[in-house]
Amino acid sequence: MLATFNLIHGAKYFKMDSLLRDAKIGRVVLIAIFLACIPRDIFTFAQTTDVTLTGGTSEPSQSPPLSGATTNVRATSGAASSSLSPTAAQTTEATPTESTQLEFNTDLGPCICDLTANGCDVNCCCDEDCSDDDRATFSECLDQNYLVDTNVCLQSSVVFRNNSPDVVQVSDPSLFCVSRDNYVDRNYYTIPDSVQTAEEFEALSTTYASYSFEALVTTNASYEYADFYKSGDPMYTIYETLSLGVLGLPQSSISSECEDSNPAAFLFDETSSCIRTVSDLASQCGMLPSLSASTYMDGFKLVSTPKFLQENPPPEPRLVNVTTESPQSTTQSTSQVTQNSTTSNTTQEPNTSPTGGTIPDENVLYYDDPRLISMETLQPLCQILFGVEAECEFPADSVPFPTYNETEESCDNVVLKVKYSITHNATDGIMAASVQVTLGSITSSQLPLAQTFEVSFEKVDAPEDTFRRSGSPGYVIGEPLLAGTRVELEDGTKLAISLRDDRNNWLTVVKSSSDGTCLTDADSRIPVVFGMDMRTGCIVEVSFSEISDICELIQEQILTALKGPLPDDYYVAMFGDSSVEVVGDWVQVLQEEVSGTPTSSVKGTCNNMVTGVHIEVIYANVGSLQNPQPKILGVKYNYADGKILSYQCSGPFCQDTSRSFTQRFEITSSVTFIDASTQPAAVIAERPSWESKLPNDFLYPFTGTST
Amino acid sequence: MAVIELYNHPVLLRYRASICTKGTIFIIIVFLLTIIPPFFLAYRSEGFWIREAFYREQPDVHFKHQILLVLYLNEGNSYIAWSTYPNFNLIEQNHLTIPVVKTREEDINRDGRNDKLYFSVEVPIPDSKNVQSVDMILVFDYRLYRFSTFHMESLAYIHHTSFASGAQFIAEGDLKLHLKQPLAHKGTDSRYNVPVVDSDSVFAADYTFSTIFNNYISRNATTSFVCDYPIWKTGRGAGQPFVIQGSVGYTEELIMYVPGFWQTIKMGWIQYLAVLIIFIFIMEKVKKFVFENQIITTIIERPIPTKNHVM
Repeated sequence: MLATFNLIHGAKYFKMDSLLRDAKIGRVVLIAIFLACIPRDIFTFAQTTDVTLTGGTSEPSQSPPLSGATTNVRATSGAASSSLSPTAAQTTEATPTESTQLEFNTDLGPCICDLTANGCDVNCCCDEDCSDDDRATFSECLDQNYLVDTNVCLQSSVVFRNNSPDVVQVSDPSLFCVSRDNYVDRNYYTIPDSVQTAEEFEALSTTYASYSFEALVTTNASYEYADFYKSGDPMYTIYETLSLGVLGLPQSSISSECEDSNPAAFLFDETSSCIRTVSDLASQCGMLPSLSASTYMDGFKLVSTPKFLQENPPPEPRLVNVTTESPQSTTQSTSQVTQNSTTSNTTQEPNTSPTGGTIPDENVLYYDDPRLISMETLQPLCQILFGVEAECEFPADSVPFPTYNETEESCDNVVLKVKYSITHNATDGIMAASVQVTLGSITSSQLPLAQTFEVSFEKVDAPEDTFRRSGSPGYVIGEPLLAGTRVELEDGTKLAISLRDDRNNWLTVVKSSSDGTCLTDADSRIPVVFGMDMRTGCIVEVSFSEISDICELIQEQILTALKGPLPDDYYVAMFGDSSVEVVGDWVQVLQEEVSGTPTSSVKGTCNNMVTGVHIEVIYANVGSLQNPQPKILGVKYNYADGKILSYQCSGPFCQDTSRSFTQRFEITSSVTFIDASTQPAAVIAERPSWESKLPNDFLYPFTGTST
Repeated sequence: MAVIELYNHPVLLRYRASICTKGTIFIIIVFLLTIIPPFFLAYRSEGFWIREAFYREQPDVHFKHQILLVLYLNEGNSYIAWSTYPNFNLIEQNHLTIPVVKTREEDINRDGRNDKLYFSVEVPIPDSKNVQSVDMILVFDYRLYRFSTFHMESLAYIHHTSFASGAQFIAEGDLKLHLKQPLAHKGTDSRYNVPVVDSDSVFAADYTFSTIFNNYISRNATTSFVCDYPIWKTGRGAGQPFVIQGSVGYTEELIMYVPGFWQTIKMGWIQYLAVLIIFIFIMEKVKKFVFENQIITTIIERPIPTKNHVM
């Protein structure tokens, strides 16, 4: 019946009684069918696009032409309105022990905007507390917050409210919309019982609960100690207060600021660099624990193996008065200490050895257990200049605290570097540990302070001559190229390669200082690492007056910067693990002769100046395709062709008064890695001959091979 | 005794008429109505001739080892500039600082095409100055092979600005192709294989970002560096350089192209045929109705003489 409604598209709001007067005759027939079909209490319905809103509202006295398409016409059917609020009546009459019985298949919220009891809610047209005059002031009706079911042709939930405004919006019903719903239950929720027991609650929760903000249970079971450290585990420390911690390796995380709670990982050699912000050096110099060497070496011991903690759970953190307690009253003292443990942890009281008591304290015994490894302090290093370090004058066991030097306005004895060396023996855990700090003086211009932390591990019976390879056998990406000079062994019969100890100083390129000039000292160069194309450089400054006179000197200076300490017979290893004794595994670095000598024909210019070097490393993958091993085939230093360095005058720098102005020339140094791998040549087997089980001429017309 | 069907065969009736009769005209009209309307129907329902199609290809990208870098500092209008172009470095010699650049292109799946570029640029900066902004251009050689051989020089623009003084900028992203028009399906296309930065120029204007981008954006094919997760780390320690590091992924691209003649014809033919079959079926019914009922008079030629016909 209502399916005819589907034919109407582009609905507009419309009022019924005025429609009958204004609409076209053809429409009226259609509407007459409607009126016969729809229930009595429908006030409104949708209409086609060709009937406009204003055309429909021609009787302002009964239905004012509201743009919001609302009117103050209300239903007078008292029966319907009373049936809509049975729950409210029950709720008010119910005793506290009884609960409201909800009716099945009923819309429970007939007027959801009626929030003020005994008062009129603004724009709530269905509020019975509102008078008709109130409603006339409403600009819109808020009481239709229904989810519109787009599958239904006529939204019955909206239409069949008899105290709702007499408009309805039908949103372009589709061809296959639901015109009559004969399964009413489909449109209503089932009414669940309230939960009485925890089991019921749990059952509902597990069935329906999804992800929530409930705190995650971390799998870090720090209260369960393993039998031994595995690689990557944090190493436990015991402080003098007997509080438990882990050996920290400060590291930068979000910013470059040091995060002290980052643990060092067992068996993983690591170096980290981060910064300490010091706002006022003079006042904070002696105050900040992060600047003091003792923070990193005193007051704690390393737990050799977690099995120790498993067998000997650490006693409660000791207090000063705990030492006077007798052993018999341990339980009592424990409970007392538990109450005070938080204060003892935070107060950071220094070691309180038993002064008066003659009975040795069990906590002291615990701290003195040989399985707790104390940090051996190596002779600290002192930074004399930037990059230059020497052993300090004071003994290792009395490392001074940072002190502020008023005269030089510097903070002395500040920790610049901490180096932990830990000796282990596999499952036996840590056997020994040592720490070496590097101290230095900083001024406020050197803030924020950059600190370096290093932890390295060594097996207890490791041979002295361990050597870190750059690959096995093929080079690993990012590892420095092995390079050294060829020397004759002492007996004079055999040749070998001599490598420098510092692996970052084998094959190097120049580095620029922060003001751009060339850093010429050997330690400030950048290592050439395998696989990384590099480009570095620096700036040589020359002035107009001197440029033509000292061309050769400038050239020498440039070449020193480019080559560094590169001898003429320099050898690079083919593989990352080439033996220094097998000279045949090393290829000589090919160096082009620098062509020509610098000359000067015109004042202000230098001809034939070499200002760059390009290092080409040719390598090829060898071995299995699945596991290619790069092998270096050759290394060549290409010096750039001689350029003319000319002092170019432009702008204000050419005036006589600025003769001393220096011009800056860029010197470049670049490295490129060339992959010369040849793909394996495919050998294709001979095509198999066709062995026929049929007579040879069976397919004679097609094959043409008859006997 | 029951009769069973042993065999059957259709009987071919021939309707004949001379050329200038209504029957001939009818047949011609029906023939035209059969073959022409399907074409219009197929055409009017859109998508008859395919104008563009898509394919996927991983581009063959090589980093050209050309970089243009500008760091803005917090002091006034001061900045640091550096490039791999000597003329630019000469122009900017008062602001020149030479960084340590490390790059590496990796073919992760070893299919012969690079998959990723890793880069790291360490710029030494005096402790008194702080970096607030990074602008960097990397230049790439970009090739496609599968349909037309496409070759261009493109760039990745890596940039970030922060109110906080930086120590490190980390940008992990992908190089994405942008096509304003589809590529051809064959031939060689090297229209845009022209330098992004005119390295021969000695004029400062040719090295400004506005000039470079102005020329670049007028191309129909460009690439851009898409980095949704830039990381700006603050807190540079004394004596430490400002570090820009990250990676540029060369991902497989969805490329739009104009299909060739035979691909267009093939797709059109399939659509035409689908509609034509329906028209043939309908028109056969029409013809059968017209001739069987002799609405248009024709001579019926029966294959078997009536007298021999056995019912």
